[in-house]
Amino acid sequence: MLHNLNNDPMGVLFIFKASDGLAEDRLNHFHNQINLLKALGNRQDELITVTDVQARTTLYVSEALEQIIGWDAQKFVDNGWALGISLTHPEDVKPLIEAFLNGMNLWNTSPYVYDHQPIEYSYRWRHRNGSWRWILSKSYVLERDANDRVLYSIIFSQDVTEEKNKEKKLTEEILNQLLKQNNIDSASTGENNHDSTVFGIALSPREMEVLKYIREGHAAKEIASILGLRLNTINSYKKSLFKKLDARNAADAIRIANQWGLE
Amino acid sequence: MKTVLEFIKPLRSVFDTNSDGILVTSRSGKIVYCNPFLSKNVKMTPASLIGKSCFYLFSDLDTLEIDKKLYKRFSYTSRISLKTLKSASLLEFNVTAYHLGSSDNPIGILFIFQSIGSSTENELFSTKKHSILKVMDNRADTGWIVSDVQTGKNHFISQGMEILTGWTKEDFLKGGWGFGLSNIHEDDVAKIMVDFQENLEKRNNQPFVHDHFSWETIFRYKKKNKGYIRVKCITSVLERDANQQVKFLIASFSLQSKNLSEV
Repeated sequence: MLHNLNNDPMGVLFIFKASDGLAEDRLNHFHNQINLLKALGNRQDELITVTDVQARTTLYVSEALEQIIGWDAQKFVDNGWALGISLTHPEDVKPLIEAFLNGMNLWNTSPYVYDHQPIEYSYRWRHRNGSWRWILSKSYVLERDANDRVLYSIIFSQDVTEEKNKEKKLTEEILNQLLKQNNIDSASTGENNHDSTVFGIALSPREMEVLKYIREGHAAKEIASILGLRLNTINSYKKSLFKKLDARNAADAIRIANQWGLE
Repeated sequence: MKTVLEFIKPLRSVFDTNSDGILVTSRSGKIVYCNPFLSKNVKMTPASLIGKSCFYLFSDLDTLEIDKKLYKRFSYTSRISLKTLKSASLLEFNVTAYHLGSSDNPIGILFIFQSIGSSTENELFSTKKHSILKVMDNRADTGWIVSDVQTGKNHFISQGMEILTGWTKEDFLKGGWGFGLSNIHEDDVAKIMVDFQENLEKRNNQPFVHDHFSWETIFRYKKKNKGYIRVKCITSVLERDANQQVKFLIASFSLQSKNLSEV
């Protein structure tokens, strides 16, 4: 199942595999190193993946995957890159693919010269429980083919969500300090009667309230019931809210509000 | 500060089974420990050597001179002839010496004797045969060691270990476990050794049952250019022998915090 930013299902991904060329057969190529791979794969703090970059298939995934994003390692081996990409945050897919292509280009145009340098990617992966986890991956050339083109790559990935959250908190603190120094109000809690203003986006307390319930996943009808207002009134607040945020729909409104720190 | 005998007490179990000769002396050259491998080679019991001067074993090597050199170079390597009482012949060894304890205030000297012609490079774990080890060698963020738990020899040392500790690959390969373990801070080594023995015994008593779990330890490790770093070490079983006993281990070392001043 493919999900949008709100974790709402938005489509189904089908993966068709030929019955030949199973991953375990291709992994036989590393038969003399299989103990080494498994010993490295015992580590729970680091996810290890071996991929065939030419066939775009996954040969080995260590069990740390389950700890990091709740997915069974074998599922990843069976479904390869398509599954990995489908779990990547929509905003991170393009930069991730670009970084991969740039890295491959560097490795292939100057064989062996940059093999000691990893391609680094930072992206969000969707955990099975619906949360986003920040992942830092370092990809190295494992083996080249007879034409010296990269054939196998080994990737070491770590969950860096905690570090990213700390970083985000620090950035917010610095931003708030800067706003205070410049006498600009930071996002209001919505408890007062003044509009919440951040970077020119001014929301009324009622609009903030509606935004809060949209964030919690309530439909307009439910919000009307919670606030004791008519459905038309809630729809009117929503319309005004979307206009102020320049949002097309609820998901868009949440994304923009998050982006500007409207809470 | 601990005496040299107290310092090596937790390491005795490893020293005793090491397949390199290990001799520990005070800084003035008084023998305080000789392992079974060396005593067998020189045909003298450890008890008959303890308390005697180093000159008793190697007349052409000046311990005080080595002690001075170790202040500047941190390790000292030479080819040496050992005289034995039981036979007139001289035994040829490559000997490597290191200070024990902190670099500023060492408490003794550790000598590692390797038979002439014994190779420190093990073809079993060469980067030419193992593309995965080649990648591990390229990883600058983590140090990697493959070692033989039965002989106490190191067979693969990555560049990351050099970056992390300042000690060279040669230091680790020539010094083996005797050298590697004696660099652990004196206040941490006893706990680390107990932890190690427990984990090893568990894996030897129940072959394969625990192999998919690595074990983690954190300790202070002596750098070559003085001072200690706090490292996290994660160890996994790599291979077993024909009797299903643990043979090779692979361990990673990563920095846990900034340099600590010497304790």
